[in-house]
Amino acid sequence: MKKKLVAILTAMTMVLGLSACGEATTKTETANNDAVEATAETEAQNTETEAADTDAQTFTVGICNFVDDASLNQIVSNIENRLGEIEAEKNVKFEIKYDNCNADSNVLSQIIANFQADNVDLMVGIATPVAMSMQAATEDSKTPVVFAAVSDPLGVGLVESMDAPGANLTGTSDYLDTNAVMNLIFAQNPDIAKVGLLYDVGQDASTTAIAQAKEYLDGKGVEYIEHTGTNVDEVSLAVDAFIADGVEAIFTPSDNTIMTAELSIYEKLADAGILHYAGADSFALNGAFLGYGVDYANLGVETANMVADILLNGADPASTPVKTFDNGTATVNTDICDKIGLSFDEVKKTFEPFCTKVEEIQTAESFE
Amino acid sequence: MNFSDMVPLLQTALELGLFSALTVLALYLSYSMLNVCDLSTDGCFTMGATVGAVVAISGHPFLSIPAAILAGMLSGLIVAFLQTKMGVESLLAGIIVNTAWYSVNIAIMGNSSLLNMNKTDTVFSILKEKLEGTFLAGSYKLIIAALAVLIVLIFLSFFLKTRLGLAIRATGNNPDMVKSSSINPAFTTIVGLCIANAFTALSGCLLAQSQKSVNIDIGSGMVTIALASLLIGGVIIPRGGITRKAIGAVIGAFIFRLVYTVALRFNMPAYMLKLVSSVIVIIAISTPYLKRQLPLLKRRMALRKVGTNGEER
Repeated sequence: MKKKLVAILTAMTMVLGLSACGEATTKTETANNDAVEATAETEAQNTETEAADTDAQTFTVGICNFVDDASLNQIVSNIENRLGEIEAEKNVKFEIKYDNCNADSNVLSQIIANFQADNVDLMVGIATPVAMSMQAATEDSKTPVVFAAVSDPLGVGLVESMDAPGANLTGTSDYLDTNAVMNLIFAQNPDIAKVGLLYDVGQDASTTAIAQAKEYLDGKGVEYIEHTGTNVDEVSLAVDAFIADGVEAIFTPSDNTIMTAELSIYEKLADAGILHYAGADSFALNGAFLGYGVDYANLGVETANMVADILLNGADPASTPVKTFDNGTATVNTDICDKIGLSFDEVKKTFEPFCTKVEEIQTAESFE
Repeated sequence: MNFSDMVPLLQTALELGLFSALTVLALYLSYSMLNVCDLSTDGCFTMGATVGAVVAISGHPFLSIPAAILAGMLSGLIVAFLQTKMGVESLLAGIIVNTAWYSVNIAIMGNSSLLNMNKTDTVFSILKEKLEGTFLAGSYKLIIAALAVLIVLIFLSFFLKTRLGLAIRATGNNPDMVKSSSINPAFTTIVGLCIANAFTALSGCLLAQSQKSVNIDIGSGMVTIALASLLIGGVIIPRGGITRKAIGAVIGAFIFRLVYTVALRFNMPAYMLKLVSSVIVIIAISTPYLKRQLPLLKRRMALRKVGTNGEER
């Protein structure tokens, strides 16, 4: 029996040892974040942080991300930066607890329980599954929840209506206007005969957008082919199939699975001369011809503003409308333009009547 | 951090541990007893969750549980049929079915990858209403999870002592002997996998309903978690009858979640948890081995000491 105990204790000790590497995840953001102060903060946080800063009001915010991808990470960093700015403006302090469940719903539950044990004043859930788990977890405590990048909050039952959510949840939505992207495809090539639809059947955000795209293409009498993939390998195979099918353009909604695969498929598409139109600017960053839709940096800033409004001004989430965005920004990848033999200026001229802004970008792995 | 902060965390770990304990008991039957490593567990778990959710959403909270169990049995039947009647290798049969269930599960949810049960009556919401105002109000999840584990434990310990149960245990031990005793090992494998997968699906159904949402990834990694819990259980209770070992499996599931809770509590980033669980499993597996080796090592050390002394002399 003693040896069993020793085994368990060893396990626990190893956990503690490893956890030292992870100490950095709890960020105590201060207006002037110098290293010495930050270390001191982290060490003191378990004992008496509040006593140290009596002049500034402290709010604890728990942020949980769903999975690592360029768009979602951009939201997180913008929320954190904006909260940092608000700290300086309003003389308050936000203690941010950040974690990423990497799409594991059991771990997600435990992360949320951990936030609740920390008595967070507000939770931020990034992407639909996180928001839904937070909704269930805060049913009794009524801790305010601000979600970010939920494409269809009404459809999944997070809110009662977009203007008056009716409970402790509100947030920002990255709803995609599919027809606007379709208009761009036809502006670029009015005689297009075959369009490919690339998405993941497992991504709820894609379902509505793909249905809308089909309706649009049926209306135009243009042939479309759909291929789906649930991971990077399958998406690659789907792209090979599109090249064999001879499609001229491919449409992808704001789909996280295709997003994670974009860096491994863009060269194949460019070589085949297929233009990839997708529903987020981060696609263009990772090599798609065009990313159209919500500016996730702005979405992160607005999410942070909502957090501040609820915590500092006492706004009630139940009556704070869900924020949607004017989908006006088309981001065009100039590297791909060069490769395919299009001039960016011409592309810009073609697209300008259909969107509020046309921006250029070069292929990279992540936003700076 | 004080103790009152830890209580809700321990409760969450216990709840999650008990829900996954049902899957651990399923593997106890299929892996430890029947000697089949059933890799369809992830898909079957998700299937239990989706079927349970769809039935509950259509307004039948109580029917959702037998429905999920039936779906699990069907899943087990197909895996068993593939490996006993179609000549598909047992590991491969599990992998194939697991892959197929991805599509089937999305179809069950009506072409969607997630379902919200926030406004749905489930066994959990019903019990919660009943308990409102009593001192048990906060522990409705725990009660259902514990009840389910208890029922499955009692069922297993009785079933494995029946004639059929003994035949299933014998099939895992020595299929040739079973054959020569004129028992059909194909039949016992089918029955065993059906029952095991029924538990797995029940596990998924209850977890989804307690979390009030299902997404297509809910079961991913379940088979690893369950195997790890089973092995940890084996270290805690290495000897004893089938009931004692089954209880060990349940304790293993709880310890597995507890380790996660402790790790998260010490601000370890969530992505490190998989490494932690691997380390735990290595410790769990190698401890009994090292324990056996210990006398030998001691003797060697002693010998070496004598040897060096000898040279000096």
